[in-house]
Formats: sequence, C-alpha cells, structure tokens
Amino acid sequence: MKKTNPSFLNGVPELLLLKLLSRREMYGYEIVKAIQTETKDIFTFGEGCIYPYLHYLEAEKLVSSRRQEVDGRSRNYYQLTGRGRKRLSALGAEWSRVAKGVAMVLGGQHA
Amino acid sequence: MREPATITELRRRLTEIGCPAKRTHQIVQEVSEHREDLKQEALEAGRGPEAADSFADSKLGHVETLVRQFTVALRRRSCWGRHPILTFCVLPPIVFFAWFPGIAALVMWGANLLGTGDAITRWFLIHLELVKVVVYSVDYSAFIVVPALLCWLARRYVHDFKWALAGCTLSSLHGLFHVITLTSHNLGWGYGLNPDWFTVATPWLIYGAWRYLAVMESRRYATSQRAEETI
Repeated sequence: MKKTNPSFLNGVPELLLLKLLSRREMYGYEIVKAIQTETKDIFTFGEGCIYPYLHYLEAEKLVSSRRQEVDGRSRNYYQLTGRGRKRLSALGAEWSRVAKGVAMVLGGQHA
Repeated sequence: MREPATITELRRRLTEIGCPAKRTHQIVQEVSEHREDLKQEALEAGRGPEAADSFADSKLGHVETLVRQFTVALRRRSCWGRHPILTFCVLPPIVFFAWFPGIAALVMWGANLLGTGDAITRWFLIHLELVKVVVYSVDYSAFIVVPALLCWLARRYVHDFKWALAGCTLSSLHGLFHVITLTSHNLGWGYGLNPDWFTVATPWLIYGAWRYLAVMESRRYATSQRAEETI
C-alpha cells in the first residue's frame, strides 16, 4: 500500500499547484513531474489525484483550462487566473508565517 | 484500440456513483491522457509494453482512491455539495414555506409593474373556480419542483441516493400534513390531517423515476462496454 502524506499537509497541494501554474500554463502530467523534480520526490501520491485538485481550483475560478493539441496529442492546459494570483499570494504569506512559527518551535527559539 | 482496464473501471465507478456524463467524460479523458504519458515514459525507459502498463497503473493510483477524491472535489464545489443536511433536510421545508407566498408576491409585483394589479384582483374575486385552479397549480408545482431539484442536486454533487430519498421523504411528509382551504374571499394555508394524495405521492414518484433513470443509464453504459469488448 502506498504511503500517504500526513494530514497537516492540507492546503499544500493547492499552494504547490498555484505556484507552479503562476510560472506558465501546464497540463496534469507536466505538473506532477514538476512537483516530483522540484521537491526531489518528498511527496508521495497517486498521480491521478492531481485532477480532483485541478478541477476544484477550476470550479473556484482560481485556474482556467483550455484544450490544445501539441505534437498530435490533445491536452488540457491549466493556467492561473487573476483570482488565483491573489489566492496564491495570500496562501504563500500564510504558509511562510506558519513555517516560520513551526521552525521557531522546532529550533527551540523563544520570542 | 481497446481501453485499459483501469480507465474502464474508473468510468464505470464514476457512472455508478452518479457523476454527470459530461464530467465523467472530462475526468476519464484527462486521466487516460496522463496514463498514456506514464506508459510512454516507461517505454522510453526500456520497459516492455506489459510492464509499462503496470507501471502506468501503479503510478496513477488506486481507482477507488481516485473516485473518492473526485467525489470530494465535486462536493466541495458549492455549499449544496459540502453540507448534505442543509441541502436535503433544511432546504425542502424552507422552499415549501416560501413557495406559495413567494410566487403570489412575484405575480402581484409583476402585475403592479404592468399596472394590471387591481384588474387581476377584481377578476380573481369574480372567477372563484379560476382562483382554485391557480392556487392548486401553484401548490402542486412545489411538490414537483422541490423533489426534482433535490434529485438534481444529489446527482450534480454526487451525493448518495439516500440523501435524495431523505429529501423526498421530507417533501412527502410535508404533503401529508399541509392543508389548503379555499372559500370565497378566504384562502387558508397551514397544517392538519386531511391528506391530499397527490402531494404525498408525487415526491416518491419523482424519486422513483430519478432512480430508474440512473439505473437505466448505468445499464446502458454496461451494455455499451460489453458490446465494445465483444468487438
């Protein structure tokens, strides 16, 4: 059975997807490969699970998609919307704040 | 080319849980493309076709996990999907309460806007039989619209059929106890025990029809799959 990531990672997939899509438009397989390469395989997940997240982000109008044919293969490309950019900046700030707090506790620093 | 078993299973499970056909098509298409990319990756790495298929399936993840996550994603799309109690138990009574006065207010507002409000009121006071027809039509329409809306919401947000059943049961109970009395110049709307079997039975009939259509769709899909496999 595949090991899953701990539950405190809720919200992390959303942040990662928005960040990757803020660079350029990508399709599902490309996004998964980018996550694996850039995180050096820290996250373990069934690759198909990327699509429920993408569809959710699309429903929330944080990303939009369009079908495009590349090298004879039709693919669904996702790109960040203006709303997605705002969400990314809010989530990024929140994540930095939380990560800083956790690092302080783990590092034994006191205010 | 024959569809891989994983993709067929994904399509079958999505249809089974009541995922709308258009959405099912989109999901299956994307997951199939992803699987094809994974297979290509394995082939380029020097694996044989069968090993490449197994690699693609294992990387894609278990179908049940995928279906569960798609279900959660579909439900998260709106509050109707996220809160089934609100949708199927709280919404029906509210709509039933608001239906009659809401439509009456809407009609009167429209009539006043057109400047025909007084004329309509006078006309209704003269033609009591017509008033009866209008009142009962408006009342009965709620018992068609509300259960149909609940079944539609259950399908749209991939809720278990039990939730639609709960909503339709509530609608039927409302129909069992709600009473309309109409005499000259007097319209009464409230609760009592004088059942009108149309309002009791209609929600159940709509639920039954909805379930029947869902089952037929699944069977039609299974038959088309068997036909494809035979070919």
